[in-house]
Amino acid sequence: MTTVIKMQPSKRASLGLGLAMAGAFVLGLSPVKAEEGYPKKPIEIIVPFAAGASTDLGMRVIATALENRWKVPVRVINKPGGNTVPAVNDVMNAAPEGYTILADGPPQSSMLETAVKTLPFKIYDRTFMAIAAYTPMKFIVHIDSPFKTLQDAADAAKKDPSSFTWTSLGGAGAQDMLNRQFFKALNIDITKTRALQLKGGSEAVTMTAGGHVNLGVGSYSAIAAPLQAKKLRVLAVASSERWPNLPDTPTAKEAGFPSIEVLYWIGFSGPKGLPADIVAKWDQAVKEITADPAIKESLLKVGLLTSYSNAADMEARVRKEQAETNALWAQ
Amino acid sequence: MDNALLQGLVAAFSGMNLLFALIGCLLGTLVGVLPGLGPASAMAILLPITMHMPPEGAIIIMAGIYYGAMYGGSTTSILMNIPGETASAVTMQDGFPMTKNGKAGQALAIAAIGSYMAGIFGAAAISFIGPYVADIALKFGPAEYFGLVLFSMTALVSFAGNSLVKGIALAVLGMALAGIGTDPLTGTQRLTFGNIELSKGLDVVPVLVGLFGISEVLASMGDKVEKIFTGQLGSWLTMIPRGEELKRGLYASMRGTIGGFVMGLLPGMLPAITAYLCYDIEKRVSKTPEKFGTGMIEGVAGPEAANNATAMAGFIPLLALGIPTSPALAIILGTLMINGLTPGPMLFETQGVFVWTIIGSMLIANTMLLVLNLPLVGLWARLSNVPYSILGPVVLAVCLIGAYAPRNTMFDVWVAIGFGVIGYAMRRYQMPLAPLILGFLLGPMLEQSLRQALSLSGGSLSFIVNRPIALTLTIMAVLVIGLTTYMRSRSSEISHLIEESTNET
Repeated sequence: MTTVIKMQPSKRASLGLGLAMAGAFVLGLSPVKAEEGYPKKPIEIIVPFAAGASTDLGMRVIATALENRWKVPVRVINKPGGNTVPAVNDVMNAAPEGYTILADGPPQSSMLETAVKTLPFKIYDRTFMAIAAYTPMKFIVHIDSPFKTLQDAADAAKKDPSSFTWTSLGGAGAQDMLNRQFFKALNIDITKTRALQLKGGSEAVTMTAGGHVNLGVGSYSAIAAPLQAKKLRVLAVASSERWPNLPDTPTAKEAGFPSIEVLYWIGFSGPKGLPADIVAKWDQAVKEITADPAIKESLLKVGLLTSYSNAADMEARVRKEQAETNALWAQ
Repeated sequence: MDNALLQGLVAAFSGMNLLFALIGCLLGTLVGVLPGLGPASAMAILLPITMHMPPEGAIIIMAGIYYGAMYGGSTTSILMNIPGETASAVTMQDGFPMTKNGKAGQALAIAAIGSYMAGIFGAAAISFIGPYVADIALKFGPAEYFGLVLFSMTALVSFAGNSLVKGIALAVLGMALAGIGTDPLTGTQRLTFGNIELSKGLDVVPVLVGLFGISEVLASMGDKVEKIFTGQLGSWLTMIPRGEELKRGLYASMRGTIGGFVMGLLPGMLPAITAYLCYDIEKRVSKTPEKFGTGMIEGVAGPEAANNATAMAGFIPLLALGIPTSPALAIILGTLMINGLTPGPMLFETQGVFVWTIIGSMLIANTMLLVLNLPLVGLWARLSNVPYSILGPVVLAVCLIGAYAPRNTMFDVWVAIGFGVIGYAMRRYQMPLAPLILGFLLGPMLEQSLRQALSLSGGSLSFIVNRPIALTLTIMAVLVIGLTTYMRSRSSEISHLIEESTNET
């Protein structure tokens, strides 16, 4: 490109021709090599959800850190709706130059094929980059609920599945995965229970805090406030370790359900054919940012625990999750 | 009074916090004036910056944007028939006719005054009754929402115009349009014909901007309008409402404030919806309901007070329970969390000074907004005297940018243009636009609450009878519709009789 700039633009036509040739030259020579000194211009991180939710808040924390690191604007763009398909599709169709990046997570990857049968792209066409953080799902009940432990809830569900109500977000998602694991562990046919289908995680928590359902599910950022207002009780955390802010709440395993674990992670992916050196830059950036104590603290405030995984581990995680999702939803 | 209150109020008056409030108000007004760019998107952009600010400063700015938008939203509604905010859509109903009558100044002034009343009342109510009424948000399950929406639907009567049947048909069409896209409950695709863009559904902003803004430009072009108002506008002083007009506006603001506030305590009751319902209240209590739509000051004051009151009321479930009742409040919740603060009763106890600083700044910010808005009334009103050959293209450009902004997609621009043509056709055939919008806004709530209530009851409609709140609301809805239909048929019968008797003589 520098040759073009050095050229004397004596004739407009020749400049135009020169630009076109230079463009063709650059494209022809190295289709998958990134420009020197990536990133050179603003980066857009596409979040397939509305602003203010876990993924969005986490991405905004990380975007600010990336901005400080790379000295280019890193914008978080919300493209909610359509089961995340339109947003993912936008990223998949973007030029693989590292300036349009997907805020990835289970609904956008491992669970998407279960939720939407006909996708305009293939799940594994994306270029996996890195996982940055996760949050475990938690079982919650109304503060006056007779269930003191997860076992109490299980007993009630076994006794009369047909009147047992629980919060579902429809389609395939982390919340529903947790419930499906629960009913599978109990050998209950999920179609015989009463699912209260809701629009989003915050609504699921509100309905549980209002005592309108028997069993609810939420992530920490959604339940923190009603928990403090003493409207909710957490029965168990669906991860291998207890949650830092809830040291007295058992894990699902400790509560007697070793098969239950749902971690909702957030990470980054790009379009097909993203050059390896760009992936390496992101990998390095995410690795260092998630090790920064200040970022760790900021993410914990919005209910996320930092947890770095590289591209290969990320893909392996998605494949494993997808197999489990297929099995759970096949019932 | 306790120490925290005094300390908080003093802190609200600190130079830094005054500056934050001013920035928030200015940004909010700007966001409100620009259609498409809603308070939620502006707040989301600011969210990462707030990590580097003191928490109270962050919330003061965010809150300023939220209610600043409620003030600013009315400006384009009144002047150009484009809703600056979805919450100000119903303000067009009488606001734009007022501009056409040369009363743009009065309309803008009463919108600002009504919003101010709602803001001050709201801030006071948050502090004194907030903790006691927060639980209302939790009392509402699917059955209660179904009753509430059913009752809200009776507002159709006020917007349907001459024919209730036509109004209901348009509302049903609005509901069907709102049903396009991914079903938010199950993720099923509906009416998308396999199209990815349609799977996102229709956003309310391009629909509104098209139906009202673009169709207005088309209609004005067809009618060869030279100026929106061709007469002489008086000085600023004559534009401020006074006497009887002011009194009517203030009473309407009061009703709008209370109505908007009470409904605003519930999740899902967005300012856009409560503004519609309070317009309906105005029309019902008015002695001259037939004059609504021709430039009644109550039709501006009521909804404008209501949308601001709803915005303020939303802070109660947010601060007391951490329940966001609107997308914008979800971002304020995010701001609190990113700053390490968890809302709830503990927030009032452990962070009393913080809470009182926020409430104090609400009083200050609302006063700032009134002071900012009232002097500008004269300037804004002059827009109605700008030749339409200049104003028209500007309005069109603003509409198209506004349609693009909320979801960052070209598809929405085409949607706006399509609805512009539909809106133009509807005007030509004298079909009211408001029922379509009301159906569009309330439809999803009606459908979802009904499906949810049925799934909880195992498919039985008994929930309407079993739940007292749902039952009361349903009975009220039936009564309102029954009585209105009866009265209408009576009055048409009587007028028919009078007509006959005069014919005889």
